[in-house]
Amino acid sequence: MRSFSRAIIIICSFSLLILSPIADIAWGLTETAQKIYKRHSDSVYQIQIIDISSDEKSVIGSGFRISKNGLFATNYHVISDVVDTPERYRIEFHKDNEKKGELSILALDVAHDLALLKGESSSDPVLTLGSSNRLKGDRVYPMGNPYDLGMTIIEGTFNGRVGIGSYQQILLSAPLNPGMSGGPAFSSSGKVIGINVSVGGNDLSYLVPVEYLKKLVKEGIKKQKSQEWRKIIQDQILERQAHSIRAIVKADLSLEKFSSLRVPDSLLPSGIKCWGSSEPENLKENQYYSFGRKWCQSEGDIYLSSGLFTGSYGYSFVWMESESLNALEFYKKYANKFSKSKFYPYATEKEVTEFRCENNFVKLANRDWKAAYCVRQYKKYPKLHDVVVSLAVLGEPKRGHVIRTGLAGIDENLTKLFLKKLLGGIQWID
Amino acid sequence: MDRLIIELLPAHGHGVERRYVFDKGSATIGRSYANDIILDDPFVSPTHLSVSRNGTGLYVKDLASENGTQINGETTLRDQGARIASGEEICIGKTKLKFVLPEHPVEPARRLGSLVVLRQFLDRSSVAIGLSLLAAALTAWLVYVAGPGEKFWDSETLSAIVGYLAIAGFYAGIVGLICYVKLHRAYFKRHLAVFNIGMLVSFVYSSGEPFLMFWISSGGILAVAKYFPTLVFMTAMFWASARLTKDLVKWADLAKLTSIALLFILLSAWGSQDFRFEFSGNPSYPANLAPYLEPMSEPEPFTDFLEKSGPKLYKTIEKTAAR
Repeated sequence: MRSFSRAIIIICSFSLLILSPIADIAWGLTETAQKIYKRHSDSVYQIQIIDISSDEKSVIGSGFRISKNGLFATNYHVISDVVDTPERYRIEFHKDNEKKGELSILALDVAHDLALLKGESSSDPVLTLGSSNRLKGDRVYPMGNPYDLGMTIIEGTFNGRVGIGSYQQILLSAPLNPGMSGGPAFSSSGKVIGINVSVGGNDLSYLVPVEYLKKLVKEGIKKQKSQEWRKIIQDQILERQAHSIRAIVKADLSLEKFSSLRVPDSLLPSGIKCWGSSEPENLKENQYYSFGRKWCQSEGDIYLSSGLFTGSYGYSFVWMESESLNALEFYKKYANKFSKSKFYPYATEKEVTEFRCENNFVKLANRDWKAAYCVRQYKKYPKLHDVVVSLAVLGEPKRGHVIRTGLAGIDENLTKLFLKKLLGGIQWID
Repeated sequence: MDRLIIELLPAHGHGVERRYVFDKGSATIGRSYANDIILDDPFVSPTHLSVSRNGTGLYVKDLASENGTQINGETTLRDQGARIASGEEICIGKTKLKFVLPEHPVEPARRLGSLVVLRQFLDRSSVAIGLSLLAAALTAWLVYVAGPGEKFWDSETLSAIVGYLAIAGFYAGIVGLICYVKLHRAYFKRHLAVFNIGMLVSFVYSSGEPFLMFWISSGGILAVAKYFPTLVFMTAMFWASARLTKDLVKWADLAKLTSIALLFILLSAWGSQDFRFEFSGNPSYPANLAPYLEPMSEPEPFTDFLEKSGPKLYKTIEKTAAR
């Protein structure tokens, strides 16, 4: 498995709030937290996905009531199994280890990881949706049921937003834990400002701003009457991808020197982070060529199903050079590097087709390259594809450059826009 | 002088199993001890057949045998006679015979050629061992070059040598076993030499392979191009092994040899990346790069490549997904 897919798996285990290091809840609870818990914990529930044949819970998360007529909010990733195989699962909401009722899906927002559920109308208390317009340092109080241990409240700090345009998340300094997914995060005045969604590290968590939930309530229910979830999901993902790619195309291209090339830095600093490393030739440590690489990757994958994260994209540049190897030996290593692509998510046969590739010699930045362009399709979402492109420059016996890029959950047009922006600006300097 | 030669042919294959020479013009054949040629074949009658010279040809007469007498695999005689030419094949029961007259033409002598000299050379133990060591050393060197370590003599090079010698022994052993069953002699050293020479040639070929594959951009053609030379090498090795042990190897035999080579290659390809029967999830494309080589014609701009291959790719994907 490529390092990219490994990274995805790591992100996956963190972000789902299903598996993550147990952080000691050392935040001393203030009076405000006590007040909020007292006043609002009655509106927060544990959401259980029940495996129908065994009648046992297979996934747990949190959720909260937002209207008297039975509207509940949670994360899409909590209920995704029900969307995928509705005949195998049902949704229940629980309070104090007691089943309170069943829920059905009313509307989804995969791109923001939100779901609206519908239960029976009741006079039970509901939560008020506020605004996520806060200052850095404001107190935030997330609530949820971590590890099925019971309802808890924690206290954290609002630390701004990350992400591109209308696909942002709130950065929260607080230790969210698995099971709290879908729970509300309150302001000190007791209004919901966001929905717990994922963990990024120790005391570093993310919230979905409440505005996207409001929008889903206002527009989503009407728009998604058809309940054709797969079609709705794929359109939402493409819409989000189009949003990021449009932003990338619009952004100024800043090139920087990379060996014999001038290559783009981050195509969009707010959404793509770049890293670099290099290694000198060192025969004693069996390093028979020197190389340098730079790789850039998008942030914020989209959870599609328990086996698949999508929506990511990235690119890398590698140069390699050798003094100790002869041209033939060097080219064996160079070809080996070229043959291994990156930047595609791990996916099983159930989710995607095999990759198909086209290859040819191409001209780029006034040099000859060997290029490969590979595509696979999502079986359940036929408009979505994973794309991988690799290029290796020709012409120098003991020096090489490889460019690799990939996009997940994308269509042909967006791919073209992205590739033209990324590769169109590359220059060869000598 | 009347002279008649009767050849007893083997049930399968070429050559003569036994040859009887009579200084008289006729002979009788059967299971009975009163015959000139006494056969053990249970399908042959006690007094089965008589043969006598008749001018420039021969006259055979079936002596009311149980199963008859077949001439050239066609006409069957039962209690009747027929004229045949010298050298025609007669079959009685399960036994094949050939009746030949002294004036039957023979091929002129072949030169005591290089093949014999080669055989004698290959039969020396020192040659077989020397070639094996040379090829094993080359294998070790190739392994070392592929991922050179600090020391030449590490576990990888050592296992490469042992592995090579094991495969060489396996080849010579299997082919030798077949020869022993058919010819009662194994010719182990010759097969070992053939294998080593074949591997040495293929090493030379493999170092030039990236150059040959450089221009191929179709995955299918590449897979063929990768395995076809192996097929040729293997068939050539089997051919050489057979040719060096048995003079007469016909073109028809080559088909058999090829099919054996094909079987080996299928087995080796089964586990490789090129012929996958299960889902892999990783893209694979021809990644052959070679120094000093350039595209044959001016390549298209990258954007053209995108525009052209995109629709093609999405269409084929659509088709496979539909399946």
